[in-house]
Amino acid sequence: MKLTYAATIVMALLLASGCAQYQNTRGVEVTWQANALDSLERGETTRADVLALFGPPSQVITSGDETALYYLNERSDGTGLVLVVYNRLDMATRYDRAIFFFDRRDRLTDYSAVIQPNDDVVSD
Amino acid sequence: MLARLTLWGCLVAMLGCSQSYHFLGEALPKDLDQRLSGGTLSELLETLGPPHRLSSTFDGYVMAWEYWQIEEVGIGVGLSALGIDALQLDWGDASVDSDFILVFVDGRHRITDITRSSWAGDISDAASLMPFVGAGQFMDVDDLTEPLPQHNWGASMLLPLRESQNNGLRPGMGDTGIEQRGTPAGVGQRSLELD
Repeated sequence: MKLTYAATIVMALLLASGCAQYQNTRGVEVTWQANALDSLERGETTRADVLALFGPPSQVITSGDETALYYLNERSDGTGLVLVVYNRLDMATRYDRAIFFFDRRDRLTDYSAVIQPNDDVVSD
Repeated sequence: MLARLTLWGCLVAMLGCSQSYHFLGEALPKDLDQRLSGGTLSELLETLGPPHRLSSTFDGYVMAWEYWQIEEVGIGVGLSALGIDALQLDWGDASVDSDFILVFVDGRHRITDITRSSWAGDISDAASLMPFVGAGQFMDVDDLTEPLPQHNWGASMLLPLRESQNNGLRPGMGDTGIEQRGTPAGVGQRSLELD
């Protein structure tokens, strides 16, 4: 009898428990993989070339005669464990991003790109 | 025996503990001040990658990189497991471990200033006793986990009137400076957004 009731309680807790997983992505599509960056040359590549390669950026920033194109993809991954008595939620957000600076002649001066989680950083 | 088991079952169902962990970004390298002081934009980008936050300034750029770990812990006793929103006793605590690097670059792409702040400690501490009806969120760290402001750049003109009036001063617009997470929106230059 005792075992039956204990099993009932355990079953009730198990039925009330659960788990969850979610992913949420914001921003532009990640197109700045290392092979796509190979064609970029400082002083040669133009803003039009970069726009043709990577599309519309998340943000355009100007400073004096210069322009910067900023690309951002923000991804959140979460997992949840619900055991009624103990509940846990883990969320990790990563930021894949790229930035390109152009001088007043619209020529590429500096750039950098990163794609997580491989720590694949490419800079010039 | 039945009564004892039932009592234990109810007690277990009334007790609850929750933990939430938020990780934002990737850990930042140490000893940057010495390595980058007087350096160039190229060296900066090579070391840290593209910034998380960026704005133009009068004669260059200001950029920021950040890393956050946020932990929420809550322990409670109540009847919510039985679907009853009453008789709740809760305690909660939230803490952060954050790292923020701010760098100024001039028009010749030379680093002019670097500053860094690291913050580890409690940010929220709460306790509640709700005899009848539980109302509201027990702990709130949403202002620290918001998406980066660049996502709103193109849509900023579609904001409600008093907020769109603030676009000329809104951080995240690309030419109006940057701000850290958790900065209240209803103070200072953004007071038009005060609810």
